[in-house]
Amino acid sequence: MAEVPADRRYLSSHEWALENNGVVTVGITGHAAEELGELVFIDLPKVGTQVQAGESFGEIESVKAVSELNSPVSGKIVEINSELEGSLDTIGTSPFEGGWMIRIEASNSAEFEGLLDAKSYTEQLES
Amino acid sequence: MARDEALLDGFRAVLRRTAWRIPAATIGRFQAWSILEHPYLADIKSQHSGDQEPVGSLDPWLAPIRRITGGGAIFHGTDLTLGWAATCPSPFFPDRSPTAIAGRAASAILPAISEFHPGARTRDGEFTELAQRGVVDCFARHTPFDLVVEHEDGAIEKVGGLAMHRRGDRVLVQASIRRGEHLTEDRDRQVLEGIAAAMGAGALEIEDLDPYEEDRSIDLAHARYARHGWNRRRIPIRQPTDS
Repeated sequence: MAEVPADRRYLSSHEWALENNGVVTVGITGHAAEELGELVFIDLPKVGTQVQAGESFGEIESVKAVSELNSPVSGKIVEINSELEGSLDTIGTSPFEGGWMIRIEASNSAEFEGLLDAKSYTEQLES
Repeated sequence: MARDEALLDGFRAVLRRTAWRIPAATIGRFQAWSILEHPYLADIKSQHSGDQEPVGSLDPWLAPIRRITGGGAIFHGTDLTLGWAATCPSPFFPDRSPTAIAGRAASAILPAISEFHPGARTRDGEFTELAQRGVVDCFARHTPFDLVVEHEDGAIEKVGGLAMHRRGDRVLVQASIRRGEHLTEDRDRQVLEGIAAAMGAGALEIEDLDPYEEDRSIDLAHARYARHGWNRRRIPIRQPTDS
């Protein structure tokens, strides 16, 4: 069973969200990274882009499959992880820390509260 | 391509064939537009230039178009091109992982093409996608779920390739199958029915778009596939290789 940190929330599509003073950091879980396999490309939005909860904010390619990345909350992108350039392996080796993808200035805090907690996400993985 | 993506945005488990009135090349979601300068496409055009006659006012070659699925460039026009969408996970694709989806799709295609490509099997082996990122032609790339035949001299020929796009709980599989001498267009329906039978998971529909999907495909054609902004879009962050 892949690690599921208790300090953050989750989407059923395997993105995690960590809130700090209204800014939500987003990445994909270890389970998702393992499922994707060898990563080849990632396409992330520009800083300033508006995203909607549940909508795609980017795409990632592995083994000839392009998978959309879903935003856990609505708001404005305030930072992307430029360290991923040239280091996509980090998403697999450190999915919850160095492998973060974007930071969103959330426009609706209720959306974050409505995400799965670690227990519910773990139950989903086990079902 | 818009019609395939419309299936992804629909709600059905459905399989369709793309018929090409004139030849075209598609490139993978993350391939650079500049690869179209690659000798691969020029070679293909020169090989087929004598075959092509204008269709009405259309150019004898369609402009290249970018797929939403991954992988390499494919020359279309003499292949059997399939688009296949379903909810995932579902009985059609029980596991969301790309390798499981591809394995399930390949295992359904193989019995359907066995009459036309005797001995066809999956290539198997290790994934080396990263090392092959610079290989332009899909059919020159090696992936474990490639559909291949082994000739008497031991040569392995790739006769089919798969690529995927996952959006929410839906997946689109696109496949290109080389015809060889036996898989003529009048046998395409047989292949589609063979795939549906091999899936063995209930009603995989074999037909073109329903009214919702038809409307969606028109929107997608205008908003995406007919635009330079999509077809020539920038190439984003890439994973480096040692080479």
